[in-house]
Amino acid sequence: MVMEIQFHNVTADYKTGPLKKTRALNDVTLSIPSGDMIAIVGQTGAGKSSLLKTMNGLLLPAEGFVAIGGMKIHHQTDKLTLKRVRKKVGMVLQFPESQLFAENVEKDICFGPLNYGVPLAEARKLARKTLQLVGLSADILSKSPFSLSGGEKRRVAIAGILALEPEILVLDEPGVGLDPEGKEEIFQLLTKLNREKGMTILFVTHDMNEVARYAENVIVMQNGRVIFYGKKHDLFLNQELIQMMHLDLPDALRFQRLFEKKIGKPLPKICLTEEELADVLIEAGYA
Amino acid sequence: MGDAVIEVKDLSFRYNKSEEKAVLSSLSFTVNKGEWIAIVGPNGSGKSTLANLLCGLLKPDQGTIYIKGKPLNDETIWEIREKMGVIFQNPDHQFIGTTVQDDVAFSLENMNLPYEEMQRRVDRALRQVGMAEYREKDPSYLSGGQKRRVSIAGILAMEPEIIIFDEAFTMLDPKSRRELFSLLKEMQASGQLTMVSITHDMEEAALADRIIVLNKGKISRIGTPGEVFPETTELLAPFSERLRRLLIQKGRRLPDKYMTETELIEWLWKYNFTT
Repeated sequence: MVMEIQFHNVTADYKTGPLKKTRALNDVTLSIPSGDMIAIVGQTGAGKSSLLKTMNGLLLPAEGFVAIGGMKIHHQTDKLTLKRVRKKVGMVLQFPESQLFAENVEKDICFGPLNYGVPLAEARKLARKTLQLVGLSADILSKSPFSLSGGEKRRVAIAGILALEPEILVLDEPGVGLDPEGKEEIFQLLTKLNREKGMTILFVTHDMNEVARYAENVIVMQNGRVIFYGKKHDLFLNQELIQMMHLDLPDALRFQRLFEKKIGKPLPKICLTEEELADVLIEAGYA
Repeated sequence: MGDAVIEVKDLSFRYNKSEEKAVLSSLSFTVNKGEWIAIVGPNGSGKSTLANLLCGLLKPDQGTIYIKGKPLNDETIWEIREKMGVIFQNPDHQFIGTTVQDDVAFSLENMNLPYEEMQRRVDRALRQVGMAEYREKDPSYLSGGQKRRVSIAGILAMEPEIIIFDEAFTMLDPKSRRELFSLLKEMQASGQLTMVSITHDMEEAALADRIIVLNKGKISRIGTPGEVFPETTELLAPFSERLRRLLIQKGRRLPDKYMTETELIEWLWKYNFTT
């Protein structure tokens, strides 16, 4: 099923006091096609997490609406619709492993499907299936989630979301706090979900290396607005925008820019990964 | 030299005392005054356990930690904690004040400082971390990165001799992270502050004077970044090291040693003249 996500002039805010409101999203209009793999970047407080939350109905628009596969999220959306939205749009919060609670992995993963009325036997099947999907073996089903490593815990938490069989997955800094191996595992999983299942994936990150390696497209946010939505190479080519947004460069490009300064001329093309950079350096005769 | 601020001797720890497998086994190392040490290693290597032991939140099964020559135990812990600040992974767990400045001041309230002194320290700490304009805000409504800065300000205001960072910078955007690194470098330059970073970030580790690599609860390597990086796995190596290895893999002749980014750029630039 095609699950386009459309933001129509969405404004959203958090009530931070009896009168005071903090504007989180400011007139966002955006159309995200099905099957995209998008990194959302921007400085702290730019509205990245809020953008994810409105897709899942955790934060309702004050004005405008979000349309996802025939469902509409606006300030008066009823609970039943929100429940349907949340099944289609799986949301993985920051440090999702902190929400693991059940005595064993199986019960933890089954919790979501059971809440949506899936019969126990079927929920258990789903648990097995999703556990395999996230690359963990079925023999941890009976283990306490708290006995697992950080990377494993996070994958179990993601399995709990995947068990709802969402078509869109939104994640708030999925790699943060994991060691490089754990991070790599999470992103390989996301890449697989995107390529093999055609799942639309949006992830928030501060790490431009994650953007360079794993995203297709990038959304750049500032002060609750979407400033850029397009191909990652186009973003990193746009030096003015990068500077204005105080965005970092991926390691390879940062190194490339320092090198170009040293040699006083640009290399033939921009490199986002060390693989690309090594090849360009060799071609251009610098190594 | 040899002015040890932290001395860890034969340290072992298990969470489950009935299990054989130790989380940390027989660790020994020394951190000198003014030194910046980075402790790296995969998840589950015992890094955070070590941080908790260093600040006295856990008690060792075996071995002793000496802070400025004093063994860390129930009698000395309060005195030692005045000298030592710790910043943990998740800043939310450490917020108490209803405004940013109250939260930073909270850490000082136990120190019996005069009001003016408190104000001076809070001001300075908030300016150092770039959060002065948020002083009246409620910390619980700040973004993840802003919260982290406030928690760092709380520690800086205490003017500690030792700061332990337990994955403290992971949540920050790269620009603020680099700003904080240079702030730490500046603070370290006084020679008074001893720092221990527990981190996955190899760019952070590259700034340290020495790196300790933990693996399965044991020290697998201690040394300067130059000594440690050439021996680490692909995923743990900083960018310049990965690029150097990749170029060698592609049949190029590069020096057989770790090079910082500046050194590698210099080398590539010169290579161009020799061909």
